[in-house]
Amino acid sequence: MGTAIFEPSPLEQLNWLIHLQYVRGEVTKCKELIRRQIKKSNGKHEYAFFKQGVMLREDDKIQEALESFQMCHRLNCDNADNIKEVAKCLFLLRKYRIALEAYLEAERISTKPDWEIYQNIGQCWVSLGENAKAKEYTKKAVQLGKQECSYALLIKILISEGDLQAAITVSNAALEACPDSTVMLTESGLLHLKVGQIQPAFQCLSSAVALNPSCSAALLGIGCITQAHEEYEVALSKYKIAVQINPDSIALWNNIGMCFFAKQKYIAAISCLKRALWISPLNWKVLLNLGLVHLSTNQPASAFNFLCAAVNLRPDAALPFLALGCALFELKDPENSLKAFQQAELFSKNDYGIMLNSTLALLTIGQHEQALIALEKFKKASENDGQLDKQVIDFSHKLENKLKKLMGKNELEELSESLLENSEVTNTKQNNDGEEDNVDINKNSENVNVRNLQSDEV
Amino acid sequence: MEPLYFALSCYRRRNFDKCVQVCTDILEKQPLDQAAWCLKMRALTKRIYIDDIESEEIVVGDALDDDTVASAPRPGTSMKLEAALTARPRTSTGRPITGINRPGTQMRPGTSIERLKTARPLTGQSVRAIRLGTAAMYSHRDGPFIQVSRLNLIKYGKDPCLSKPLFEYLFYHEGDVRNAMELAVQATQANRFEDWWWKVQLAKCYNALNLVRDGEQQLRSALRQHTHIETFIRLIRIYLRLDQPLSALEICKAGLTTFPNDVSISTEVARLYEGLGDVQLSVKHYRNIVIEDAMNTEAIACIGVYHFYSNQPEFALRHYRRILAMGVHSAELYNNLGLCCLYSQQLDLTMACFQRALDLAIDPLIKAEVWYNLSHVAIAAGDVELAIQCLSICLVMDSTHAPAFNNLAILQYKLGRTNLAKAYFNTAKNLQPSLFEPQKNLEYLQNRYLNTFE
Repeated sequence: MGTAIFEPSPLEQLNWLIHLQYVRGEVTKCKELIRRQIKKSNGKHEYAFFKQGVMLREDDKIQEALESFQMCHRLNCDNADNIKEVAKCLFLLRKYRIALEAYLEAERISTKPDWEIYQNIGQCWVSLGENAKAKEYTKKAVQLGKQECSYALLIKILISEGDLQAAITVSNAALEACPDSTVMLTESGLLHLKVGQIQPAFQCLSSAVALNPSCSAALLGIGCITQAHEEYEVALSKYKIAVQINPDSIALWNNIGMCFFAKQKYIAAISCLKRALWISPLNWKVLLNLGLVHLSTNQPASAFNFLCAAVNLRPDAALPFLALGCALFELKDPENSLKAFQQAELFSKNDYGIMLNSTLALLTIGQHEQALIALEKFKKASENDGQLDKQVIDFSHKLENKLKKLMGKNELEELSESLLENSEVTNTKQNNDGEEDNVDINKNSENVNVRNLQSDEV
Repeated sequence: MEPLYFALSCYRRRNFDKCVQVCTDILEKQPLDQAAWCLKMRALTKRIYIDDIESEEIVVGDALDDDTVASAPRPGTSMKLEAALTARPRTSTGRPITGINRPGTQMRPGTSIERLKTARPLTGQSVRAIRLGTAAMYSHRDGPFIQVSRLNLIKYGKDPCLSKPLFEYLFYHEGDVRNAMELAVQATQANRFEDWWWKVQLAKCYNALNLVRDGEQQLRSALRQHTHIETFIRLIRIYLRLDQPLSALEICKAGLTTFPNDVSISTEVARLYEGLGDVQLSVKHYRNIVIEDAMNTEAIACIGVYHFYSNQPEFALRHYRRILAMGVHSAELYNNLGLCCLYSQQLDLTMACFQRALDLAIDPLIKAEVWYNLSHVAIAAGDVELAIQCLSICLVMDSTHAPAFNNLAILQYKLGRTNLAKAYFNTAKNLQPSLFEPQKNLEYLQNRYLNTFE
């Protein structure tokens, strides 16, 4: 006679079923099963709690998921996975400080080094604003895991420190680890572009576009490079594709506008730039470009309005002041234009355009000695520069001749005639400058202003 | 002069008060004079009559519909849309902004049921109609003119001369929908279900009692007997109340085949397309309306708005100037003119227009909107401080203006006051959860450590 030995069935008996149902997506059934299992085990079923937490987190019920994972942790303190999930929930709840502590605890518990923990610690430090510590941990994560996300995080940290060169090295390493990631390719290309390495940038971006033809950031980068090489048709064709994918991009509309401007289609340029301005009314670059376009279409009053706004929004850049000076000059106000040029000179280092323009303004007011001093200053500054623009040299010679003549004779009529000619030369020069400066990649989509046209009650 | 003749003459000259007085005198002498009684009813009705087609506020999905199967409508078949019109702002009730204020598009706080969630019972009757009923009752010297409860409705239903004025009196003057419906039922039976007019009236009553489906049946049967523009429009309204814009469009098409180029039906079509988010088609219909009726303010204003939001402020300006030339003189119009001037760079006129708008605006809500737009003028000039001041004034006038809070936050962020900006973003988010900008901006601020390099 054998007596039946009472042997409790093991807790983990149905773990396979829980997992299977979860994987199949039978959420309601799975939840029911988990509930039964937890009840049966008097709330001591670790795996059931774990899966419950995972499912709750997928449903966006992060607080409840956190409680579930905490239960897991209470049941089994030695499992690093549990505390990792707890920390992840805390991170999602934006409690970075506590999440960080949890991750540090996980690091202590875990037997072997885990890239995920290091990466998340890095993320927490970044969210708390401690870049140095974040960098240390992210580097560890990169060395251990060679994961794309850790590379991306490291690049972000390096960029925020302003160390572009290091960021490029990291991005190159990342491309070796994951050669077909469009995000990484684009990121790397844009980094190269920022440093000014056109060739590798172009390569990265074209392979990104080859992998994903609708990657608008990469298209923008390629367009930007071609635009800088004055192949406006090609650039426009790229932008046209990109703008269909991302119709609210300020940078795209700005660059399209500048392409049209280079092709001397002023109306199209103005309307594109205005659309960019509509999306972001506080963008001083767009305002500056609009001012330049209006200057070259002989509408100095409109240009003045835009440039004034640009100067107000960004009072510490040289270029808007320079353009404002030109606009004022066109409006026959050389005294104030001189002030604008002087202000521009404060913010710039040896910009020839500004120097020559202020000489011109001084000349017009009639302060010949001052003009002579300014010209001398220009000569001194440009002495050692071998790559002077031909336009600049011509202009400086013209100015010099005029000045000499004037010092001798004071011929007023000739002066006014030649001035018009000269100021036009300066303008075209400025425009080139402005364009190069403004083909810039601008990725933040922060300033979304809501505009209201009120309804019309009649 | 013969008193009844005098009363009729007064009625024709729309001197209704005098007419009522004369009729009362006649009825004091001869209480059973049917002609005077009928005339008095009509005069009383006419005195307060309003075009109830336009006065009704359509709350989408208001009807208590038990037949609903699917919880979410298929795309393109509902007016409750999350449309892709990103360039055009919406009102605080979530509807896209249009060129003209209509009962359905006004953003009076507290009218829309979804917003307020009160325990107020749903009525299909417009608030205005109820109010008129009560106002009329107090205007009598000695008791009500007709004791409605003592009327023999079956007798009057058979009388072809008295039934119609009596119905209108009951419906419009007394606001007594139930008795009016009783009369309409009797009259329809007396006419052996062959009079379309009574069917339309019956539908009106059903509609007021929120029995929308019954109203639909009556109107359809009325249309089979006689095609009339009013019937078409009422049927369209019923489908809008049921949130079935595609059926409404079909009715519009049927109506337009019978009455080609009719302005009121075309207006319905244009409004429908606008509600469905198809602005191009809507504008096409509005253009047709303008060809038919060159003085139609709604059409001109809507075309103007369309041009404004498709980056053609010069065209918009032209349309608004036309409205101005037609003699409209309101704060909203000057405000719109000012905005058009601003974006078409006629800066000398901008300030003058806004000045006039501010002078004309009496309602604080409208004043708030004008100040909000003035903040854009300040931004266009790059003057952040002035813009902040404008927005603050806007918020003084209307403290629930979510976009103003959002923009204020952006400007404060630009000045470096991040915590203040966060608080403003949160306020904006709470005031109008459908607005996605504050949400996005808040996310941006919270992740700003990652975005310090710009």
